[in-house]
Amino acid sequence: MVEADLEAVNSVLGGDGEAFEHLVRRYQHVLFDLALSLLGNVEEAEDAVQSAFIKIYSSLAAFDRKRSFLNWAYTITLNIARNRLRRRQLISFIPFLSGGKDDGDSEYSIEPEERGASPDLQLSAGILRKDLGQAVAELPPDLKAAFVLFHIHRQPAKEIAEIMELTPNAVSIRLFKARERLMRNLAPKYPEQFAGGGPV
Amino acid sequence: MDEKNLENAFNRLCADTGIKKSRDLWPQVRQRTAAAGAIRPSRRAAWVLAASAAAFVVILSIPGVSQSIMTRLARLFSSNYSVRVGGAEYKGVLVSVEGETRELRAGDRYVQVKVTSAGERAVKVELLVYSRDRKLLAKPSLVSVTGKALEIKISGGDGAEDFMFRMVPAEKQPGSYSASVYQLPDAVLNATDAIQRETLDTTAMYWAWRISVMHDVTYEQFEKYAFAWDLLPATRDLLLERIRALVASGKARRLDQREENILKDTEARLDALITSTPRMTADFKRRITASDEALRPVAKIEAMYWAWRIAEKKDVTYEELLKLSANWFSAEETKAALFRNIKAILDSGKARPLTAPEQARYEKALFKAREAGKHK
Repeated sequence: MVEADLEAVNSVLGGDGEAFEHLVRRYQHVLFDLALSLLGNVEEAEDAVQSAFIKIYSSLAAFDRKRSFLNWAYTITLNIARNRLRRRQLISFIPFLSGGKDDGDSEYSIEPEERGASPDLQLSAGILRKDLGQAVAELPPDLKAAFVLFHIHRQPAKEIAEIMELTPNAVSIRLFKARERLMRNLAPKYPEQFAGGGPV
Repeated sequence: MDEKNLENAFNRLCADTGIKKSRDLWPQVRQRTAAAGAIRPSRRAAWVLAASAAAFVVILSIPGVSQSIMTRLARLFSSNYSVRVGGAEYKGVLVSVEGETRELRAGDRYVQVKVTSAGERAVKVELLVYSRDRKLLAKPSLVSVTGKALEIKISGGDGAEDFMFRMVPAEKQPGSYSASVYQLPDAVLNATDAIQRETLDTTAMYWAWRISVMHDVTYEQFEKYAFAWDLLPATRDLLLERIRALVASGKARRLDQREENILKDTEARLDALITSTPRMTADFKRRITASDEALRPVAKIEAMYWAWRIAEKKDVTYEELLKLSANWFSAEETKAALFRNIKAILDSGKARPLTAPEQARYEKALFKAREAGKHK
């Protein structure tokens, strides 16, 4: 566990509630990104993360110090997002790579993939990423969560297993299914990205 | 495309995808936790912060029978323990004199632990487990053998484990623990030392009699156990010197009734000082002193800050702050001085917000204090 997290946890438990600020500011963005990819709505995702932090705060005394604080926070956020999906039957169509706003100067707008690349290349890269985002958004929640945690948040499969409360093998299966579905969706339009063998 | 190639393909496709940032959620989170009454308005480091390396805090010592001058040849226990509460585990070493109750905090539980002899190799471990609001939850006890692990589990209403205490009771020679045994704060130690100096000759006569007439204890045994007494080293040396002289001269004798009453009176005075006084290791004491030193130059600014929170911001009352300060990482006398200053400002009606330079000085000092208080 990150030493600074442990100190903040201890400090909050010792009565210094404002030490919680450190944890919120450190992890709010990654938790938001995960919630947004599942819920597909900025306001909904922010509210889910806020609820996750309230839950974390009220359960802090029960926090298992053998776990990483971030993994614990991921698990709580994931559970809240799943519950909201179930309860409200939300269907997310928002591309996870382009964020939730259509205006060009949104803070979630696409960054040029290769700085200095030609406008044509930038455009094609942007279109591919938009299509990828759309395809990921259409994945079932558990496949989507595994994919986002692995490929976007760069979490190892072992950590994802802890976060999603699955075995590492089950995580690998979800990742495999997610990639396979995405490839089937994208390969007809972008065959060069998936060259090197047919669908597995 | 095989699985590995597929993974690599998506690694490439997602390589430059950043994490999307939310707006700052802290103001809303703070508001919601504060509305629930959860956030406590403290800017001070708490005991647990400074002791985070141990992840377990001894916040109070309640000396028992071991403080009697006439029975202070008690065994000293140094036992590894762990406590599991709600999935979290806390570990450490509990040093206690026989019959002495030590209080530990594990998550939202307070645990009072008493280890006493139950034979040459057997010990009795008694627990009192309290909730955060001091409601007694359980009172288990167990007799075990030194060196062997004992485990006490408590289940909740649903049958699931609610609390687990594990300990390996072990006896240590007090002499070897002179540096790490829990000590009284300097001010209290000086006071207990002064009281015992008043009756040093009587105490020396009592132990010289036990050693040379009663023969129920050797001088070497006494010397070792005397390390655990609440005496300054110079006073301890003086006591040992006088005992040696009495033993060597053959003048040791039983105390008369008047002398015994003097010692009993001294014990009562010591008890009044020692009971409920928090103890700490030498390292803990050093860190508290360093932390207090870092805040000393801003003592008046700190008092003004809290007076402003109480009188103008009104997000904490004087009584709440006083209660909260019990866990502050600071010496009792320093905290008492701070509260005297706060009270003076409140009484004068001159509470005001800190100026920007004051705020900056206070922040800087708080940072230094936290750094000084950390376990290195």
